[in-house]
Amino acid sequence: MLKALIKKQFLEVFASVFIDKRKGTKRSSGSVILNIALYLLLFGVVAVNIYLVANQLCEPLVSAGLAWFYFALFGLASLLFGVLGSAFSTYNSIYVAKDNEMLFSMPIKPRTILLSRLVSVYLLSLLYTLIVFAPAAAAYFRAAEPGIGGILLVVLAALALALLSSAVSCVLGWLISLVARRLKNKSFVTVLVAILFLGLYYFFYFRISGLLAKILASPLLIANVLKGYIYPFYLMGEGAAGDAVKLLLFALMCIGAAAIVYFIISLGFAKSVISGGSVSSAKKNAVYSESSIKAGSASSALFKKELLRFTSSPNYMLNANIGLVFMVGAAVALLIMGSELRQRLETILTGNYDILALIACGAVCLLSGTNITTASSVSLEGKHIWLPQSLPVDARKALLAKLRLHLTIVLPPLALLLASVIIVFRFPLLESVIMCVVSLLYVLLIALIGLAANLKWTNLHWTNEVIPIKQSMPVFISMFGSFAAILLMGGLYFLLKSAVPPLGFLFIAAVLFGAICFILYRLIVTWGARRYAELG
Amino acid sequence: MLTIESLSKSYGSKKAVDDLSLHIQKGEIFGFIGHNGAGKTTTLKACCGILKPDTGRIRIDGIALDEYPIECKRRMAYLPDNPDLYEFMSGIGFLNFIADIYGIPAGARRDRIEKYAEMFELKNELAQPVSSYSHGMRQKLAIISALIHEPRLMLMDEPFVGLDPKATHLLKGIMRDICNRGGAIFFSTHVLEVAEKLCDKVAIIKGGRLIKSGTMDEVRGDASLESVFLELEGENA
Repeated sequence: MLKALIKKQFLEVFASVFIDKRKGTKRSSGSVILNIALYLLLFGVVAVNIYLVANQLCEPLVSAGLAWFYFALFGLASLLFGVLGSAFSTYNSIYVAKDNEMLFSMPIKPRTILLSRLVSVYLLSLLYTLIVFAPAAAAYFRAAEPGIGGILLVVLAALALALLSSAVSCVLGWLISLVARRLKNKSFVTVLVAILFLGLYYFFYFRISGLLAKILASPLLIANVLKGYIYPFYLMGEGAAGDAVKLLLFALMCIGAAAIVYFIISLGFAKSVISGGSVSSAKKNAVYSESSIKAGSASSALFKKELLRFTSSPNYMLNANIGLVFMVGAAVALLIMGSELRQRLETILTGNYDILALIACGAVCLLSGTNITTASSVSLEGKHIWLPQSLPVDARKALLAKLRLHLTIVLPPLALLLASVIIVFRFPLLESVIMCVVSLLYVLLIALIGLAANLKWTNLHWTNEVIPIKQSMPVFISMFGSFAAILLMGGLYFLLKSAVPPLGFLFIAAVLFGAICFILYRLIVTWGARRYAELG
Repeated sequence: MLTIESLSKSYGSKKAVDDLSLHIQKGEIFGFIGHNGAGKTTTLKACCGILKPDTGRIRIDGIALDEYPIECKRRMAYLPDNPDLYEFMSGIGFLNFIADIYGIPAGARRDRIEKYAEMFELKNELAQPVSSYSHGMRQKLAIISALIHEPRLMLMDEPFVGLDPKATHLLKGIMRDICNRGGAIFFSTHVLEVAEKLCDKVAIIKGGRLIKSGTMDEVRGDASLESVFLELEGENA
């Protein structure tokens, strides 16, 4: 029975390689090979980068007799990478798996179901661990030439490390399930946690070279200080560097940790799954009152519906509007470090300082163009499309509600970013006004492009909302179209710069964006409305 | 109330509905019977404006659906066989959304929501998200949302599937009540006993073509609707 469940889990983990989720059909052999090649390329790029970092550290640490410290550092990095990467998928695969109900209705012990789920969690953790640990091991093999026995110990260390990573992921997944069942606004918390993870990732990414320099400056001192704090990793490091007994101790620790986690989770697993579902207890216990009956206009009802759809999906919020984080982050960073940046730019742009308005406006547009709410908004109607189509709703109103949502989400951070740009760089009134106009029109343009593209390439038959949100032609067009528009405008400026001053070019950009917006708007309210009414 | 004139609709090379004409008058409960894939759902979807016919015309209360879709939709309600409602809304949120679209004033919507929610025993669950509803609860919510603007014409696709006996009984009463107030009901069903007891008129469709229609007595004669249906199915095989 366990074997059959584990086989099912394996098929599920590798389903995306063999099944086209957009069409729900089996991939051809060529498509499978291409898919595997793409995955290998993706992992290869990450692995090469890690190898380059590992190579800098390996030789100095190994020659200083600190091979354990080298492995401990990469062990910690792979643990962090694995946990950050797989915590949410662990939660999804254990607590909200679609087949939980079906399996619970069968004569299978809940502990057996859990064990089979944990096997796939381990597999995922191993994958993440290897992305970091394998390049580090390769750098070690090149530098230390450890022989077959040594290689075997490193491999065993990676396998044990993945077990620890999966145990920590399970604890996080369990915590997420506890929080999810109690929170009313689960989507927002998911988004906040994801942004926090992203922030952590960038924090380490930008500090990695500084950390490396510090470690290389006094490796012995740092290793001795850290040894007590990261004792399990010291054991793992010593084990990977050749001490089989210490590796055995580390492996026993990992097995023990995994067993404790399995035991604790299995105690409340059945209860969590049966009572859990995807709806929080706060929402389930909500009580109806007369005051919840509120009247509004059809347009505001359509807008509220779009807003609710948006805020109910962490996937939609994160993937379609991650640019909001960058916009707010840039605005805050500008206010903090703006004067230093202004001084540097004054030096760099000596004699050409009037071009700064153009550069700043381009940067603001580039950041705001990463918000593509409308590009999947029509496809996300999915199986609900019968509702707006059977109701007495003008299709134009339904489409304008999607545009309104995009503007409502993007305009406040845009205003903040523009305000900080204008304050920091002290732009005169005319330049400030024209910058604001160009940025506003650009945001509208991206919204219109996304909506028109989504009306042209609509996918209402998705099985997973990630498909229209991340893997669709309208998203590709919006994302790259927004970059292409900035590049084209940059190219146009260099063609015209001898004849047109930067401020004049901003006027030209405003007229151009305005004209394209008008054409796209007319297209959406005529052809688009007809198309929307006939979708399905 | 509802006139279907020479309606045809194809999906690729498959003709789902072929030159179908029907007239449903005010005060009538009209049953639409046919096997799976006969063209019932396609006809109902075309009548409520979800599907555009290839040829033919549909009129609601004398108004052409293709020319004045909004006016037509204001007069009717559509209840699909498996209503996919907005799962990101609460029950009351969904009813408010529908009432806003139809422009129902706050007082009237409160009266109607409370009346139907109490009737279908859904009042206590209205504040909960639609995603937590069972199939039957979703069906009840869809029925309440369809009744909220007091439609003159109700188009229903297998409306009794998933409903408990009490809700089924209530819905039958509501259907008769709409007709008594001058409205009309056009619904599809597989349950011939329900059609026999409830409908004033029936139409039998097979392979997209109308094979028999008329009052219940005209269609079944002295036999049962089931035997007539099976006989017609066999004749046209």
